[in-house]
Amino acid sequence: MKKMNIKIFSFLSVLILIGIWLLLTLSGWVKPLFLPGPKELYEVITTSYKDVFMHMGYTLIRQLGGFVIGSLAGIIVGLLIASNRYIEAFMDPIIEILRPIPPLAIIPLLILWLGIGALPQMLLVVFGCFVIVIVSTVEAVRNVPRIYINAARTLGANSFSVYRTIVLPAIIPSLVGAIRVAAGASFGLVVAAEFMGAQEGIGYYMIIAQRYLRTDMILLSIIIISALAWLTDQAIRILERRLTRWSERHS
Amino acid sequence: MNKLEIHGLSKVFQSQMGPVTALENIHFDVKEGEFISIVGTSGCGKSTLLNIISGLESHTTGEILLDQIPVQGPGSDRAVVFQSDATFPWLTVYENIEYGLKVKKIDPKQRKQIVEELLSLLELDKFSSAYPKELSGGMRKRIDIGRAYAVQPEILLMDEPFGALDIVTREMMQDELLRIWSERKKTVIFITHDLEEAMYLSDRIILLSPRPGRIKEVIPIDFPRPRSGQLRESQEFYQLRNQLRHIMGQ
Repeated sequence: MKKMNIKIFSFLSVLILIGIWLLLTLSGWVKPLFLPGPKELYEVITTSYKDVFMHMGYTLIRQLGGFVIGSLAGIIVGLLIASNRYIEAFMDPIIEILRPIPPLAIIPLLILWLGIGALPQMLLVVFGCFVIVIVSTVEAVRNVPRIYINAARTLGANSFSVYRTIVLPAIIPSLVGAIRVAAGASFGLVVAAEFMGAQEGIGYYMIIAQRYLRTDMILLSIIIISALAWLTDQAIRILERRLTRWSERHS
Repeated sequence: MNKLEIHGLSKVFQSQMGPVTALENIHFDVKEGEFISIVGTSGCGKSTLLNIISGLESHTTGEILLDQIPVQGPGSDRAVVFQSDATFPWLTVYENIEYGLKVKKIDPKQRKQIVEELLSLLELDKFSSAYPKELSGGMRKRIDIGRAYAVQPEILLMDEPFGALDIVTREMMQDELLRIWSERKKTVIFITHDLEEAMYLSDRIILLSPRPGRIKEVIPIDFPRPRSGQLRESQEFYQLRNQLRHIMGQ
């Protein structure tokens, strides 16, 4: 009963938000130029959905490519660093230099070096995801409880077996957490990269829409990209629950 | 026949205040199939001693012979049951017990047989596909014991295995351990700070005195086996406990 009541509150907040939007737009208090109403939104969906989906497609390829490459590289390099003290000593300064760089700050450099094609945009996502995932991976390996490693060794596991059978499964919950953060960031990064210089993609579409004062197109773009980001997050959460059924968090 | 021999063992730590002697001139033998307890107050070095025997820690002088061969590093011939929960949470009960056998690449058929036998010996068969988080502390301890038994160690090392359990569960686990041990004879070194636990379980008790850890006294425990809960309430048990308590406090 109590759980039900709490759900009603969450539902209520969404209703109120939509209500405010309807009130502001339908009453004419806010002009469609600044905030399109339901009618304008419906029109833009019917007239430009083809364009929006095409641009969205370009964006998704870059986002997904960058996210997968960046996260995988982060996990692999992170595991390498955490497996060997010499690699760690060598890589640590590099990571410490890269870590504080706001990914958006390297957009001008990427454009200067690589122009405004798809490659620099994807690289930006790769960079952002890589930094997030590598830091979490190294941290996760360091936090594997000593007791598991000792237990494995006294049961006959050598260092390689310990790494494969203890360290890897033990870090999965933290890794999935980092991947979720990286997925969220990747959407922001790819759109930002397209703002700065692109010839297609949802970010480019939004910049053009802004130039022609097409707030309806901008709003539609925001809704679509948010929905995609949300769906991706949900998918990773389902994966997380699958992979970490054993973890205390889901009891 | 001595299963384990320890000769002139010492351990010196380098701390910020200079060298600290944790163990000094430790010398004892453990016979095949013997259940021996090492008892001492907190900080007397008993866990350090066990970690040295298991190979997880190094020692400064002396030697440890298992079947006349010096031990080097950790290995499944000296499996350990730790005080804190060491069951692997990402593996089911079955997979936990199977762990050491898989690492040792025992063939699957034989593996299955060993694990299933242990599951029924430990009365865990009903929970074989459960994850440790779904089980109580006492049950998880059984998994730890089963996992150590599975690799068929020459000697079983137990580091205050029941220290984190409540008194009722602890006594139940002591009975369980005796039952398992009587069915599958193993040489056991059991670390505890609980005199009664040591008396109830062991053939012999080694009392350690703290700072530096030295052997104070070795006491044979002659209560007949099989032992049961009644022993804990008997007059002889009580008297021996007081006597040992006295030696320990000196």
